[in-house]
Amino acid sequence: MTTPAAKPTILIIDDEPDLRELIRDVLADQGCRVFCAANGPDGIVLNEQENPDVIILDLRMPGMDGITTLRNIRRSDDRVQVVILTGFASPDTIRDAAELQVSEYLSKPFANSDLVSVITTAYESSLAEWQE
Amino acid sequence: MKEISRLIYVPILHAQDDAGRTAALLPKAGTAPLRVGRSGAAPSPVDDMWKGIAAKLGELNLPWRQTRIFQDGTPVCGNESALAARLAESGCPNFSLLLELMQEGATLEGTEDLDLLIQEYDLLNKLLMKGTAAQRQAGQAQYQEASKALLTLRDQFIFNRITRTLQEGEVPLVFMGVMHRLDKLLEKAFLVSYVIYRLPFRSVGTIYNA
Repeated sequence: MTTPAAKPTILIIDDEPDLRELIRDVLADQGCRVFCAANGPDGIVLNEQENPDVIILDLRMPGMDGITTLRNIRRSDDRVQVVILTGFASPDTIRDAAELQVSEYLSKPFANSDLVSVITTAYESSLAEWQE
Repeated sequence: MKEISRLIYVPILHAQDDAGRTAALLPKAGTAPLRVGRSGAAPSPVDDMWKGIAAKLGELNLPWRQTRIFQDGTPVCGNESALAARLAESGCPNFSLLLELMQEGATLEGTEDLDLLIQEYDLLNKLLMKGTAAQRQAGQAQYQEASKALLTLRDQFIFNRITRTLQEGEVPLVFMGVMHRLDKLLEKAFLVSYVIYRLPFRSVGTIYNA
């Protein structure tokens, strides 16, 4: 695994195309390299290929859900920062997220500025971990 | 058929500063109080979390004069309001929000068993007083196991406290740390609505939310 690039690399894993594109546009405007996956398995592969600094992960997706996707990612990658986005927040998923060492848990709907702030915090954590 | 009452549940994260402030106000049990981490205000993601929670609660238009608040870490002691005021005054955003809600007419109820709470702080204190980071890491699994067992007892006490103190027509508003499993008990007795904005796990660290 390589050290983080100067330009933050973000992977979005979300089955909702409109939201995926919105987040991609917001983050691209902020100077990030953005990759997108529409489901968990594609996200796992893209994480291995692109080695992102931060993953933005939707919890509720058809097929493999967000928590299962993250469990799979954590088997080989305990460094990537993960921000969970969900419109169906519950204590169960919060506890799962905590155990899987997520950086942030953000419930939908959210303002673009909230998302940028959360991603910035996660990216700074990523840089800090690499400097340790 | 008996109507099921609604309950508002806010899962929260404890910041290091909060733990220190609360511990400092608890009766001592033979060990030194926790050291407060940073001397200034809580980190900004935590402040933001509380602003978001306040905004979401505002959108609910709850009848504040018929709202009874149950707060993680607040012992049944007869001085709940004074305790909340002191913690709010010390800069704790959690209790600052509680104070605002109380000013709107909400009632803060003693929530936790004091003895169980002191046992929890003693456990955490023992872990934090370990000399090196490696010693703390080694002790963490032991702490988490003991803390989990205590949490079960605390949750049962809190559940009983909610069901026994709630008055006819009141809305219970519960602020509870994310690793409590109180929601599992409450969902059997109430129609639970969750208020969640953001939870900045990385910013606050995991030790106080284990």
